[in-house]
Amino acid sequence: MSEASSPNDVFINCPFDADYAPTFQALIFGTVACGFRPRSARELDDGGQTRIEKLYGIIEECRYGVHDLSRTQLDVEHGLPRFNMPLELGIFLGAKRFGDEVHKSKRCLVLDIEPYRYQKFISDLAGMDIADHAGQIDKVLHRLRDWLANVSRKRIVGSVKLVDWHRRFVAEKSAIATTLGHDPEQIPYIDFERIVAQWIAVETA
Amino acid sequence: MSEPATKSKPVRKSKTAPVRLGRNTLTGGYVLEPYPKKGGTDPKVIRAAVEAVIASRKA
Repeated sequence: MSEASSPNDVFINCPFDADYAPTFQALIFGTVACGFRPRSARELDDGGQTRIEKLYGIIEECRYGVHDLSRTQLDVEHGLPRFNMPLELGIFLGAKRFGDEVHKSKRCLVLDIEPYRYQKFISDLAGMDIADHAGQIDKVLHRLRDWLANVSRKRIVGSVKLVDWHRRFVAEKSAIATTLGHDPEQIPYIDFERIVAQWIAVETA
Repeated sequence: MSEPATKSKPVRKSKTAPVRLGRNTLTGGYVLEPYPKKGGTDPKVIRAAVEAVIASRKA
């Protein structure tokens, strides 16, 4: 049995480009607000391991995984799609399928921009429930909250309240970042996670 | 007769064990500290900045 797998950890597998940043930050916020710890490739800063080894480690440690495939599209510069997210989804599904009892309890949420678009580029997922979010942050939060409540059976804040918290957090994020000496548009990931967690702890105390 | 002495091993805190930052009064659940990472700003400094901004909104 893997001792490292945590029922509190959620692997966030999504794009990290600037356009997607508000959605990524909403996923981090929603995960913490629902009582879990987000994990992502953004935390990989140790030069001692290859990137794929680090990803194996994170995926091993997470019971839950959120995989957003909405950016599976051709890159303007190269005319090729970026396949990191489908690859990491595949590793997660492989761990669940072939791992020990702990890994068999893994659960994943697959998100895409439209309900059945995935059938055109990753048809082997047919039969799985893919949640669409139409690129809307509120919808992403609803999907994340409802799924975490369903798979974890934890008592989790309602989705309307979650969206309300998130809007209030976004309104105050810049002031907090400025107080800490950061550019509000480029808050380091480690600090962003800590800001989110402290904001929720103070706001809900 | 005295009980046999037991050697207690120091308990090593797992890196993955969640640390609770506080209780969410709305749900009764806990707010967990992020997975531990090296570097970044001291969480106490971040807490102070967050408290100041929230306090100014509530004032």
